[in-house]
Amino acid sequence: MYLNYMVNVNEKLTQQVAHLARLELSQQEVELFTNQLNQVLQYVQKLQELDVKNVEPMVHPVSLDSYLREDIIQKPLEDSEGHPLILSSAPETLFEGFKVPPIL
Amino acid sequence: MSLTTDAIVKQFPSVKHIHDAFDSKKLSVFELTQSFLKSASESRHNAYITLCPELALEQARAAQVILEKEKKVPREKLPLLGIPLGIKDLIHRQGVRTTCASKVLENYIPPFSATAVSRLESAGAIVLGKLNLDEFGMGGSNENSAFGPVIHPTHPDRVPGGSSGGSACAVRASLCFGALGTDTGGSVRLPASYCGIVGLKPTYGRVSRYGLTAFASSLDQIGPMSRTVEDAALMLDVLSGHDPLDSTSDLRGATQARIALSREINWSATRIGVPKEYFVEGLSAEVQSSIEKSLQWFESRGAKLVPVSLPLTPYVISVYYLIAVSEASSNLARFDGVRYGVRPLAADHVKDLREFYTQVRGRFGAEVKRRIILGTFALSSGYADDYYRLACQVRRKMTEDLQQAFRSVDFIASPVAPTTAYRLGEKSQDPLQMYLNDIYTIPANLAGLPALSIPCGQDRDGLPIGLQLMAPHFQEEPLLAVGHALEQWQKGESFHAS
Repeated sequence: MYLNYMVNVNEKLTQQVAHLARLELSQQEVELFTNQLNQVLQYVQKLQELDVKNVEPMVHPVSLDSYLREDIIQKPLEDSEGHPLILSSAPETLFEGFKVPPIL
Repeated sequence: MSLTTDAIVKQFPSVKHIHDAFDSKKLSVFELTQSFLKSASESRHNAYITLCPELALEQARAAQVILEKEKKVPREKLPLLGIPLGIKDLIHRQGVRTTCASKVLENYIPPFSATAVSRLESAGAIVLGKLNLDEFGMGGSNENSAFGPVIHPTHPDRVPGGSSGGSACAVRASLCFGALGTDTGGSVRLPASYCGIVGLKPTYGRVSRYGLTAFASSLDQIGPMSRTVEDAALMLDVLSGHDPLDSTSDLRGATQARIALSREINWSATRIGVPKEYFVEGLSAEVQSSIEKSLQWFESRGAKLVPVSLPLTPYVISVYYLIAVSEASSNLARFDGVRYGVRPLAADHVKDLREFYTQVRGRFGAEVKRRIILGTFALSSGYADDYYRLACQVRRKMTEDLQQAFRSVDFIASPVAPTTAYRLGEKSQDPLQMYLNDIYTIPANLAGLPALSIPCGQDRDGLPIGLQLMAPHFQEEPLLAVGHALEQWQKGESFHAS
């Protein structure tokens, strides 16, 4: 079933979506994006004209089966002192782990 | 060496010529690299975000050692030996900063290289630096970069196109010999067209995406951008072939595109499709006449022009934007400031993790935020069926239309874009207007097809016009061969004109 009405995005909905995406928007951005979202949604509304009832959604361009590798443990990338390189770009680390603020 | 890079590329316009010059000692790898580094560092085009002179000169020294030992360029083993290239800054090179033109990643130094970059380097190429782009590849004008817009190489009031605007500009302005771009909805082909160079979007799965920062995973492909079709073919031969590190990488081996260029084309058996929906209102008269001239040339060679119909063309932009933003909103969730990226000072004084994420992700640029929000909306509960799923259903119909067309033709010809490069600031206030510019390039991404952008003329202001040729899956070799033939004719034309 497809929408046969036009979704109208208001500032509250923009805020809700921004919250889901963990984005903080200024009031100016909320106004701008609400406006632009409505324009884009109005534009894409015309897809509803098409009859695609029994069409299987295509989420990938070619039918590539996933070519999975054997599940073999490989040596992680390390720096010259044997520390894992994956930590080298972390803003903060603690005991060879990523440090985050308190979450509880 | 006193030659400028402009003079060098004029005298030695393709990799083949550079290699001959290495063999005859007219050029040295080290001096060539130095010249490009100098041009790149003095340029005002803002094409590079990061230059890596130490790495480049070290690679040049190594190439020089090989050359001295072997006497001649070992073309089979090291087909790109000593060729200075630039890499779009969305693709990782170990130890060199990758910013994705975003404030979110301005300090990120990847601990690994993309397969595409490793393969270029294993073929002897020299990496000069990382090229500017629209943030995370999101844009068509290169105005959405946290590091400032890229200036058009010949017309400073114009945009170079995007999102691989730095790559196209750098190739055209002789700031590198060739470059890597990435193409999600036309991001290799559009800037190639606006700047007057060659750009190839390979078949989806042809080139490994390992080490490419994902924008829309079902659409993204890395592609070569170069001065000639022959160089694009040479680069594709190096880049292509299965990579176990990318589970969508096709299992077949590397292309043999450069060899394919020297084969005789059977023109009388070549059918070129011309979609009737493509030559409509909005297409500039100069672009149209330039495309028609190329089509007439194909016909004069003996090729058949076949009208084809792509009736869903008016829905292309809608389908693309829903799918691309949906995938982007999911892919960009990884930028949380925990494992990499910039953690702003304010993030140290937050009361919980939610606020922490918000602080970190507040650094995305406006276009990126807009797309994340639209994508989050299109995937959110209650709306996903009406937007994302519907777009995927229409995507299948569009792909079937293209497959149907390719039953009666070998290639589909069209403009790359409806107009030539527009003015800086002209469209950036109206995202929808800018999206409409991608109508010819998007279908290849939705269907995963290879497509080539090739210069085919210029408008009255001297701005380049590009022709797009699209081919069936994995048909890059014939595609490049036909493009090469057209390019040879074009060169003859401009020679006679001047």
